[in-house]
Amino acid sequence: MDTGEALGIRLAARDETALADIYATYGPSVLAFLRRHVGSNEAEDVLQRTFLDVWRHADRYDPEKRFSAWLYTIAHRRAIDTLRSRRYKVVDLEAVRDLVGEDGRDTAERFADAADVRATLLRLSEVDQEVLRLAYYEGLTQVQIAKRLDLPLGTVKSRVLRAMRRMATLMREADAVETGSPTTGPLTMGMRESSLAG
Amino acid sequence: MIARGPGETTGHPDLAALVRGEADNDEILAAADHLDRCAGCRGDLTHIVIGHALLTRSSEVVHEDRATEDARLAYLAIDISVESDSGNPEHSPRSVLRTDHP
Repeated sequence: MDTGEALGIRLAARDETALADIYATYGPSVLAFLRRHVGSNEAEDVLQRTFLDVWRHADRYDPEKRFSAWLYTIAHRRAIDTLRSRRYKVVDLEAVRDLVGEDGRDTAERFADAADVRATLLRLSEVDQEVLRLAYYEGLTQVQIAKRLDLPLGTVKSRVLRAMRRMATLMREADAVETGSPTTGPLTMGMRESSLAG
Repeated sequence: MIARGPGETTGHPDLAALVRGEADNDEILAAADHLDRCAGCRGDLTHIVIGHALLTRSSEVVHEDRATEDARLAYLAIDISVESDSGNPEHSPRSVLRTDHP
């Protein structure tokens, strides 16, 4: 799977498969963002409108910018449009406060950050994805992961270590491409492959 | 300690357990002593801290499982809605938004 920026470049070039890849990579996290702001009943409709906008305005994506930030800006606008279109006399002030102004932009950025991590997770091997999902999204300890997967604890520890190294390296590489800074540095220099297991 | 393979350990501390709060006090203090003299582990610790911070922040805002399934269902619906919504057939995403996509 490509990085977000690579997907954005493919999308801007009207590569139709890019839209499907973007949906598979970012769809769930954009939906989680929209649910928070417009509620579960409307979130899926807004998600569809967001991705239609992404396709229609693909040529506006600037490859110099972070793709997830561009995507979440569109989702953020569609969410605001949705709240504005409601005819309710009473609105959920907390939801509005969370969506508009500086707080809203911060929230969109936090979700964009999280979506980038999720997208990077998808670039790891399946076994590495599995241990990180269990550790961070299900909150299991390494001992609990070993029991869940029926693996020796040492194997789980090695996989977690390898997966976290890979996650850090991929995120740094993506950031280096985005900012034009060098990709080699202490992180890659300091790796000790000898301590890794299968 | 970090395993080299199933059932085997090295003299290096389990850095993931250290940053995730899974190590006990004795292990934490032993790791501190080890890190003072092991440049390799200090390099690894940088990776682990970065990975841990990224994943922890991500886990606070993304609720994966439910959103993944619901996004998949919403994706199937786009295939229908786009049909009457796209202007230029040449640039229509209809062929992209196929129903067999996961």
